[in-house]
Amino acid sequence: MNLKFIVKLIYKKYCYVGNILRKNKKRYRKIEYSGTIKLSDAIPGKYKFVSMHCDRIFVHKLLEIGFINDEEIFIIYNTGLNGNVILKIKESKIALSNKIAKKIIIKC
Amino acid sequence: MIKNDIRVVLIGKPNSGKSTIFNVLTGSNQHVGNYSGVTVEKKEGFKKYHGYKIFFFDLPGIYSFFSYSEDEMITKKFLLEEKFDVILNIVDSVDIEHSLYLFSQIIEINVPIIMILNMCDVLKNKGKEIDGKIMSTILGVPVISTIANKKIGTDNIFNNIISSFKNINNTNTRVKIVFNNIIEKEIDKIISLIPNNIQLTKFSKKFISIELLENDEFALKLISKFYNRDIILDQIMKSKKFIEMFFNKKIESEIANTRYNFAKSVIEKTIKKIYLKKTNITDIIDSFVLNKYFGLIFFSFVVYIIFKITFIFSKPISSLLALFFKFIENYVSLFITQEIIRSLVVDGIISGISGVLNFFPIVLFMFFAIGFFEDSGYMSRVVIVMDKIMSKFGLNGKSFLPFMLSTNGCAVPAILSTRILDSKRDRLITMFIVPFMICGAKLPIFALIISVFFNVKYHAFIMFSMYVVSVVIALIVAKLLGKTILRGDSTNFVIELPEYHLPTIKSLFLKMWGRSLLYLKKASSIIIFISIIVWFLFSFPRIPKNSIYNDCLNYKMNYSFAGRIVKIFNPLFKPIGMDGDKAISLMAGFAAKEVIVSTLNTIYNIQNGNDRQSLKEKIALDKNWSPLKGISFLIFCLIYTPCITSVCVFFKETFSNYKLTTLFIIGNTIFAWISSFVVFQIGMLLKIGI
Repeated sequence: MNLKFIVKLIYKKYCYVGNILRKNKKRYRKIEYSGTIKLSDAIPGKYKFVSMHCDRIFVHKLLEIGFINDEEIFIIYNTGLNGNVILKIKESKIALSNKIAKKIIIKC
Repeated sequence: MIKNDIRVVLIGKPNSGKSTIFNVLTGSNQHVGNYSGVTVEKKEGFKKYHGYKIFFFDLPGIYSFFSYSEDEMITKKFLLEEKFDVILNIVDSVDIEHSLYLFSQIIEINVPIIMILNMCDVLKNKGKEIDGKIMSTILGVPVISTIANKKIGTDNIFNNIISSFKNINNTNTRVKIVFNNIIEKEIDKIISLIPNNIQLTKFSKKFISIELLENDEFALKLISKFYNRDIILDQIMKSKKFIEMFFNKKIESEIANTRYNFAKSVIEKTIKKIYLKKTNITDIIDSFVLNKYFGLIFFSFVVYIIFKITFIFSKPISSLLALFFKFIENYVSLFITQEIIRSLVVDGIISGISGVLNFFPIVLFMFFAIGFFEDSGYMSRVVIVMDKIMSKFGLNGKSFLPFMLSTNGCAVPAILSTRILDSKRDRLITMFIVPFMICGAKLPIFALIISVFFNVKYHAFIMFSMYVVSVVIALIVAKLLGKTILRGDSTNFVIELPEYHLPTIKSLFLKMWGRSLLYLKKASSIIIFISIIVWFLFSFPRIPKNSIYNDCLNYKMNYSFAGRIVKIFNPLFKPIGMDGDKAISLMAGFAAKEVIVSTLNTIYNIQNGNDRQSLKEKIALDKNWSPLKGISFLIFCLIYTPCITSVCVFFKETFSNYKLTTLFIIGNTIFAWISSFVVFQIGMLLKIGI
């Protein structure tokens, strides 16, 4: 257990953390390229709903809450991976877990 | 014959103020279905008005007739099976689009509807106003604006109910929702196939055919009884394929589109903007409460407040109650001369009841505090904050409310409140875990033993650590269950965050009372019964009067039924550090946890005679107890099988699942034995607290 070994370990962890931060930046750039983005990756702002692909019962439930084509969605908070997304749809605030948010696609 | 009974049903979106209006309309004439709280069960109430007796039914909130979770299915079942005369559709004025979506489905029921626009003041704060008269002419239904918290506008409701009850034919004036031409043709094809049936008089055939196209369970069940069900099912398949081919979309999204367009068109004509909106308090508070880091801190602060409220307000009342019971004890023992009956009444019944009622104020105030935060709308935010932690153990954030109800409260309303969870797997796991918390009945045991063996300084700290231990154990068991027996992913949740508002004291009071009523009911039925049995086991058979051993109280104890049971179970409980007498109190605790303290009391009374010492002092002087044994006893109490009422409710809620209930009873006891064994043996090895 040299000093070098310990320093290398710390440096590796630092790079790992830096990579993660950089990956997040890439996600935010995606929307400029393709126009659509997953709900779990979106920054707070104004978007329009495009489509979603989960099981049929859940699609029906989300439909009735208001996820119709070209519906305006305001994202208020996004707490990142394994977190929640809080959005405003048709004058009511709704919170979704990120598991569903990954399956919903929106555009600017 | 003039019918004088009117049955009225309250339907609406969740968080639209149905229960508040229900409380205003019925006053104190309520019969809560089983337990009140987040409405998971229908509530009944009535009011007499101008010679009519009006029955009100409060149902859980639904977004649409497509039911997803257990409480929504209750509403749907009620609408399909029960008879009712008038529907009160309670609409949240702020979020009209969702409510009009539901309204567009309710229209198809052939029953008079009255629309109530609730929470008008919140809408005014946002700078908008709804014109009720224009809406009434468009929809063809009477519209009343109310502010339910302040009881403004609720007096008109009764007159409207009676007038719509008299003119049942007003369903012809209602608005009709017209879908796309092609969809209408397909719907007509299915309508022509449905035969006339008595069951369908409530719903129009158009509504049923739309539900069939959307694959609704209840409609399919209805159809399965008809003679031409195969033809109908064929036609449904054909129509679906045709529509999906034509529109290139699924049929549900097209139908939902039409309904929302209807809602938007109504809103355009009725809502006016008055002035610029003021700042919204909800948004400001949410920015604090939902923050990643600050949210948890705020929540722990709220928990601290809840605990403080319960303990501060309940202390004077419980000490009063203790004095009251002592007074009754002395009074009764003066009057009754016969030894057996006196011992029955004092040692059996009164000590049993006092064990329950002494800690009743704590349960009451705990439910009051939780009800306050629930009604104000903060609980949905708690769900979001706790979701991250709960998801690591395979659970939903929504499972957190039952946990809160069970600490210092009662496990039974907690098990019933798991109906808000969507998936069956989540419900089963949460129901299994909830009894691990320190409920109001277990609290006396903890308070007693901790106060005997530990310094006054450390009391609060040790109690707090026991709460933490209970939560940790519950979460670990959840993870184990999730990986072995009840496998699957924890479901996604969708929660609506309502606006913050101060709850009315009346609704808080009714909620709190409804939840703690169960605790009282236990005292009157099971506990008296069990205390009598325990007393019987300890007092009989009696040593004959002329025996030598009359003065030897130890021999008296060993001679009774209880003593013989003790001898059988002694070897089982020795490795955990408990003698047989504690084992008996634990066995009596299977019926109701409050009985544990009172059985300990009777044991000491019989062994040492009726001294004027309190139970605390007796335990402190007893050589068989030590701090280590006390803690292993507490851990066993925490984990082992829950009381009979919880087991019965669990059995009912899991739809009579024998496997799970036996696991519930036996598995918990074995787990409790193992954990207290571990704790005791480690303590003996390290020689701590002997």
